[in-house]
Amino acid sequence: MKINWKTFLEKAKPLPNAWHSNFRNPKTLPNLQIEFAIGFLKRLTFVCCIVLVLAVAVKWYRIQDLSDQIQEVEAFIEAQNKANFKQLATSALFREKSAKITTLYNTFFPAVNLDDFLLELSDLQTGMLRFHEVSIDRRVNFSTEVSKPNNPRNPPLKNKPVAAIKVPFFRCVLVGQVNDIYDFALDTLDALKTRMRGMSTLKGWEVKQPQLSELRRKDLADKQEMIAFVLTLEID
Amino acid sequence: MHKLLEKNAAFILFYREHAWVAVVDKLVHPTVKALQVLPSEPAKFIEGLKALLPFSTTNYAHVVCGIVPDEQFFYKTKFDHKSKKSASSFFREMLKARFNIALESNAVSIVNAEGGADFSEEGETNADIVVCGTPTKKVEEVQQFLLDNGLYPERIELASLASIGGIMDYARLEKIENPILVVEMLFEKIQVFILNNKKLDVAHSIPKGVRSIAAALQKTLNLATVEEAINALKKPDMAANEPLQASLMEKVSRELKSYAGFYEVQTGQSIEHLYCPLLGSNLYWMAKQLSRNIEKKLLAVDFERWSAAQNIRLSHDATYALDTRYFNLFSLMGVYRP
Repeated sequence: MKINWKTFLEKAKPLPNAWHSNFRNPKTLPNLQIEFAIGFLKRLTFVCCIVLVLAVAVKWYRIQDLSDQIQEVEAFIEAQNKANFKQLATSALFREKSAKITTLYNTFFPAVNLDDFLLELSDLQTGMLRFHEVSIDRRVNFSTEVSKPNNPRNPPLKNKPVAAIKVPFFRCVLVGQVNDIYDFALDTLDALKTRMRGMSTLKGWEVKQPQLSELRRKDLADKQEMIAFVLTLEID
Repeated sequence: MHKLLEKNAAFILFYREHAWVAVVDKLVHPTVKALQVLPSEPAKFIEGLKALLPFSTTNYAHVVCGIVPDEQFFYKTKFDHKSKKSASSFFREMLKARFNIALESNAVSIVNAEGGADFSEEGETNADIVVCGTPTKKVEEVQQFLLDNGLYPERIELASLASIGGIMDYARLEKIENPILVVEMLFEKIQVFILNNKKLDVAHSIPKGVRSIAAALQKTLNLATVEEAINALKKPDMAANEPLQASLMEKVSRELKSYAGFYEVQTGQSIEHLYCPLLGSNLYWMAKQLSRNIEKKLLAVDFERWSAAQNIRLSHDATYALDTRYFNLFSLMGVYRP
């Protein structure tokens, strides 16, 4: 909307005045609209400046805050890095030592591979023959007569260990059951003993004849019997 | 808070050493909030006015200012424009030829003698007009002084012209039908007007002002300077010494009487009232003496009635005793329909 200031001002001053001739000189009068506008602009500029300064101050404060945070995080990362390097060093040391230990262990105490042994053992089960419990006792008896092996990196597994070292002790106690007539069950157990001695995982070891230590009979329905057994296998 | 929001404006009448000030809320139909007579000496005036209303060069107070320069002139004449010349060039030549007024150096206003509206030549071929004005320098001095001090002049008027309007308006209100003689005792001259209803019939000046009266006193009392005589005129014992007053005012009275008599004979109407504005309380004896000498009643203005009719209110916090001497200031506030 366009405001015609001249007519607007004339309307604002309804002086139909007679006997009030105005002798003022309009040429040297300040323009109040312009003065007002200038004053308004000055105030506006002032307010803008204040707002700008405040905005800058807030930004600056935020930047300060952020850089403080960055410093903190950097310090944290550095500290972490140090710790990490330490850990890495420890880990490397550990790996080195554990390799050494494994080597040593393998050198001095070659053993039956338990995983393979258990897998093979479980394959021996049949429809009537079931194992309930397998307990393996594996120990090493130290001896003062221990002497260095010929080649620690590649220990002679097939041969008997060096005479000075005590043979590691390996005992497997098998608890299970056979659901069959007693006589047949004994045959089954005999067969089991033979098969256990011939297990491929025990190749190279001198396996003693497995010993049945316990036998219990229990009658089941339909003339069936259940024979519980404990079989002990030892490696010499 | 509401005090701050209240608008302030003022009517100011400068006359010699006095500035009559009325602080108002607005310039049309105002409410008078304060009324005071300040010294017109610039620093004291501004200081006194600042105590009455806030203003500064960045926040103007709006004022209507009445001035009474000794150089002011009032001429009553006829607009008799029959030639083909444009009205402005006609006035330029007429003013120069008949009154020796150059438009270059004088601020001139032409109003209708009847009604007082600004004269416009449209349709007028034979009208009574009043040519009035003052040297531009005088107006510009006042305007610059006001602007320099943060007072924005909405109008700068000749107080005598407003006074004519005021008296006419009052006469209409009071139904005074006889002509009124207005005598303004300026320093260098006496301005004489005769008002008849809505018309200014006579505008004339007698080159005998307060100064010539003072000179007469100086002669009588054998004083050294005119200034001493002026001071003597203002002394209270002067107001009591009627024989001396009568002798001092004699010349002036005689002249006025002849004017009045001439007018009365010419028009067949008798002048009943005399109105003498601009005389302070210490010189008011002049008005009284004139009234006695020329046998006319002094006009006493009923302020309450007039201000009510003019929609001018007087705030109750303002303390003042109004008398006719304030009427010149109040006539600046009046709105007069032509």
